[in-house]
Amino acid sequence: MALLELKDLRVHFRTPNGINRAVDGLDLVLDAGETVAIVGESGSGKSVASMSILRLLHGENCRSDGEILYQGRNLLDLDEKAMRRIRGNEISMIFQEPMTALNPVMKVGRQISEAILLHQNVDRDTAMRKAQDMLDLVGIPESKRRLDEYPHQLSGGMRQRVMIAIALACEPSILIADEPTTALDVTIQAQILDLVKELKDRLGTSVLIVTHDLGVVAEVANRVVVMYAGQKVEEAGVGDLFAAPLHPYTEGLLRAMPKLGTSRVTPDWRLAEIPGQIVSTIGEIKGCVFANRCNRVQEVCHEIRPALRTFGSGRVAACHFPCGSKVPDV
Amino acid sequence: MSDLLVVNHLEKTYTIGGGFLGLAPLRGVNAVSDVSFVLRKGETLALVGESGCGKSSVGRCLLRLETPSSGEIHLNGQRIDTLAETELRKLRKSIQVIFQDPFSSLNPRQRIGEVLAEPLRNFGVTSGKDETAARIRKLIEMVGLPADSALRWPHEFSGGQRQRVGIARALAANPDVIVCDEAVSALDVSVKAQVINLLRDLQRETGVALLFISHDLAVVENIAHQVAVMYLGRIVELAPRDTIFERPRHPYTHALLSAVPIPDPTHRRTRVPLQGDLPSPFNPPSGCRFHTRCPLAFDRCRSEVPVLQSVGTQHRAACHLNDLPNAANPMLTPPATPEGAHSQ
Repeated sequence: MALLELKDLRVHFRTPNGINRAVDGLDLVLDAGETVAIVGESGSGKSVASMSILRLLHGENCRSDGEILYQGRNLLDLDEKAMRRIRGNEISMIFQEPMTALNPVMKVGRQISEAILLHQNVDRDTAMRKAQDMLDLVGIPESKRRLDEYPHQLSGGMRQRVMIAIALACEPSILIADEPTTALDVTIQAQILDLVKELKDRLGTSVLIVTHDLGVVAEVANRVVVMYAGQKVEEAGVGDLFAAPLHPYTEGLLRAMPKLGTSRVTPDWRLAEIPGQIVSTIGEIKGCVFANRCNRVQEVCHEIRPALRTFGSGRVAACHFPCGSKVPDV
Repeated sequence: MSDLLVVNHLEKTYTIGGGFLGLAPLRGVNAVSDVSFVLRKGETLALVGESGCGKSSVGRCLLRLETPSSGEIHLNGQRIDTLAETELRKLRKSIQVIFQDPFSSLNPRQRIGEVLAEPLRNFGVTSGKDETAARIRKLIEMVGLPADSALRWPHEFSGGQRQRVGIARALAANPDVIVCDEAVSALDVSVKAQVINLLRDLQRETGVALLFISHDLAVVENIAHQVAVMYLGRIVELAPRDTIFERPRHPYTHALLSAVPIPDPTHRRTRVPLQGDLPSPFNPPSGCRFHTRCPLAFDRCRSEVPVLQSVGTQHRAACHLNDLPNAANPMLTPPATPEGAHSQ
């Protein structure tokens, strides 16, 4: 049994302009000890999908359907009390903006020990000692002094380390990281990615990382789910995906990404563009979600939505004419 | 290529403090320290570095959105850092800017046509309605927006399209220089490529020079002719693009290059480990400002400020290691293209 399995997850928002199908039928499996990346651009639904796992989206205008199976239990069926035992304890999450995710008027030590006190039957002193251990674990020097500091006294990279310390304090089995390094400088990003990789191996945590950055994906992920306009368009092992993408969108993304080294080798090098822009997820989309930007598009693509098909081991793609196949008249 | 913009020993110090009733002590932050460079006509100079390195402050000083504390800025041979407030309009016709956030840099209550008409009117580029309208049509076409854009509102456009509007607005006055302050950082990968290509095409078409401020080395490699790497207010290395990427001569440039994630899972590399965070700019380290994080620092780095000196053709770096004989210089002993500039 998979540790976490999303089955036909649909997250829809009611907006004045119609129903926004932010996530529309997502299947995803996360096994123990694995790192899966959800990659996509703004509007792909990747963040909404990750937030819906812990049921962080609610309100009368938001509806989640389908199944979110954690160790076989559907999280969508749990009551709020049971959900609180899961959040931060079995599944925890870190966000892009470490400043807005931390409480600015609470000392770092208390913020970490709060999570421990909430989920574990220990006294304050023990929790504080554990908090200090966590700061050591995430590589914050002078951890004892740092316990007594406020978030504004820490740099951006340190704050993200504190977030990771809070998230891992109760030794969760899953860590969801939503753009964990996007707000950080590149040298600090490298430090945080190394930290996540190291802690994952050390603690055996499974990681679901949500990012727009294919460079980050290549560094940390075992398996990749590519999302576009609320749908999974491709899924593959990280090696396969980068070596031979099947979906034209994945291929376009890989080619559009500025890549160190390439532009100097070829004179007059140009980045490949994906023309146009992402289709709106408000209202029904007829045919393939990528049809209006695709360079392999055929008539059928505008009419019939391609189903996810299996291509070899662990590879799926939703495309009528995947890369490498023959397109009738191109 | 002629020297268009010449910056000499630019300094910018911000005074911070005072606090409630002026009770807190005043402190100075030396955001830009002894920065000199030359931007040539039709070329792109990239200023790269991490947050707080002063790259945006340099851009703001050129635009005179900030007044430099000292130093000189010359545009077309004319000194511009001492221009009086009343003369700034002339300067702004020559130096335009594109900002990072395409959502906050457009007035939501101005149609795109009005956004573009403003610089045309203010700088007297066109006279009369017809000429203005024709120029607006031309600008819209140049940046690849739909022909009916002039009558539409900013909210009707996506992030990438808004950035195109920002580019059109910057181009409207036929400037000599456009300061692009993280102009593509907020865009999605697929759109980022469109905008980078657009900027390159427009540069070829109009001969405009770009000061491209960015933290993203992969983007910089695609667009720049010259690259200046900044750290805590100082330029630590300055060279033509290929030189910087192939033969960096400053450990910070090495570290930056090796930290860029490579979108290739089979690519294994050894990172130049950079310990810790950027030191506080209020209290920059003595000697070389990078020595607290430098994996190659030695005694001299802690006491003596390295000067930006020539280490090759058009190549300048500020590192004491370059004073060593080549055989003893650790930046030269590994193969000339290290981790960052990999080949496939």
